[in-house]
This record gives sequence, C-alpha cells and structure tokens, in this order.
Amino acid sequence: MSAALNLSHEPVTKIANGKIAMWAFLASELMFFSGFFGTFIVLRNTNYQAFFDASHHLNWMLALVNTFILIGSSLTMAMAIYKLERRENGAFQVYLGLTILGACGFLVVKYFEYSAKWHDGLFPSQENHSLFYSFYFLMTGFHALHVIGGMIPMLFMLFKSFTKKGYYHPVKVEVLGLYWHFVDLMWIFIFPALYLIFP
Amino acid sequence: MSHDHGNILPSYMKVFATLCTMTLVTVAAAKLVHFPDILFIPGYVVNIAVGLAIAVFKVVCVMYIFMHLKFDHPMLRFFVYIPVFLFFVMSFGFNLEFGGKESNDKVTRTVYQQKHPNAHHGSGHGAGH
Repeated sequence: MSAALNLSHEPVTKIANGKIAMWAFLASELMFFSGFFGTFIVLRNTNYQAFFDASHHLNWMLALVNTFILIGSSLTMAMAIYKLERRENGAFQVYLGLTILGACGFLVVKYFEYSAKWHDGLFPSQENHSLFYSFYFLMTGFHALHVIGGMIPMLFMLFKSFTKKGYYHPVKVEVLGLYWHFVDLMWIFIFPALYLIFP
Repeated sequence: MSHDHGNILPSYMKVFATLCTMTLVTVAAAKLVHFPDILFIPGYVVNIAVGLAIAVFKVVCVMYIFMHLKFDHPMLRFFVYIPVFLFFVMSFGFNLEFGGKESNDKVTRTVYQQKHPNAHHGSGHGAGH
C-alpha cells in the first residue's frame, strides 16, 4: 500500500515523497487563493464605499470564534501526528477525533453565518452589496470546501484506526496534517481581509 | 517514517498560545486602535499593514513549528519561499499605490473620517479632502 502511494523517502533530503508532493500541491493552492486576494484588493480600492458598507453587515465575532476553532484544530492535528509516531493509538484517536470535531464546529458556525446573510438578503444578487458578497461567498465558500475536503480522509483514518489492523501510517497522517495547517493558514488571511480590514 | 523531533510539545503549546494572543491583538488593532498618518502613509493603511504583519507572523509560526519546516531538510523551504513570494506578488503587486489614486484616496479618507471623526491625521498630507 505504501509503495503504491510512493511514500518512500528521498535518499538525500530524507523527506518523504508524499510530503514533497503535498508541499507542491499547497503551492498550487496558494496560487489559487492569491487570485482571490489580488482581485479582492484591487476592487476594494476602487469600490471602497460599497465594500465598506457591505462589510459592516458581517459578524466578526462569529469569525473570531471560527479562528479559535481552527487554531485549536491545528494544535490537535499536530498532537495526533506526534502521538501516532509514538504508537499511542488511543491518544491518536482522541486528537484526530478532536480535529474532526473542530472542523464540524467550524462548519456549524459557518452555517449560522451564511443563514443569517441569506435571511437578511445579503448575497451576490443584491445591488450595491453584490461585489463584496461575491468575494465573501467565493472565498469563505472555497475555504469551507477545503475544510470538508480535509475531513473526509480524517474520518477514513479514524475509522481505520478502530479496526483490528489499526492505522499506523505516520507519514500519511503528517501529509494530511500539512493540508490541514494550510487550511488554517488561509483563514489567518481571510479573517482580517474580509472581517477586519474596514475599521 | 517521520523523524524524531525530540519533545516538541512545549513548542506546540507556545505556538498555540502565540496564535491565540496574536488573533486577539489583530482584532484589537483593527477595531480599537486608529493609527495616525506616518509620513506619507495614511493612518488607515498603517492599520492594514499592522494586521498584515501580524498575519505573516502567525503564518511563519504555523509553518515552522506545526508544519515542521524548522525540522525538515532546508531544501524543502524552497518549495515554500518561492510560492509564498509569488502569493504576495500576485495579491499585493497590483496595489503598490495603496489605492492611492487621488480619487480613491479621497473616498477612503472621507468614509474613514465619517466613521472615526476623532482619528488623528498627523502629517495632513491629503487629509480632509
């Protein structure tokens, strides 16, 4: 199984091939998000009044809660890797479970945020707020999709860890951890850009 | 198999505490503090720059400790530095004028001053249009 996924180590750098592949993937992800940020800043500077008005309908407190949830889940993910490397399967399951719980919590908060916007009629089709909320839903929506994308392999790993065979693949979990930390990193930029940049 | 980083738990806890603290600092800097103009840089731009600097600091903490960049072979860092450089170029490269076309700057200042009438504008450059 490991050979099929080519998670062997590069002989000179001693870095797992899967890890290098994930970093390369994250580099492409970074370029994807840079398109959002670049156009957001350009259009913000040329439509300041509209962006300013629209942004004040956002609930930055909910976003702050989500920031803490993601930071916490980053810590539990790092802890899960640490415990698996030491073959502490029980602790690994607890920390991975907490990470999944954090991801669920993030999505629940996001659901409340989205439903409030929907209730208030704040979505891209409305005049004036159209441009800002296009960015809002595009950036946070893609970010939420990334959260869901991370949860799927996490659930798989957690499920496998409860089987008789167990799940001892620290490199695979570490590679998934890189992805999960990247999701946290993007939120670190999205949070001030959308919720705080308009004082 | 991953390499052993010794007892890394204290570093994880320090990074976690730093991230939580800096998140609160970001919110405080954006919501409570209104920086004055510094030379030719308007105060609202200083606010954004401070928020950005804190975000970059948090990102470095996550990448070096949580993502193990500090412990892996240094060659891996080129996979990170170059895309991060390109990210900043693509995100901010079009905006080096800080939205400073006079008309944009005027609108921004007017909106900002309406919201914060007591905010101090030090140099007076472009203020009060």
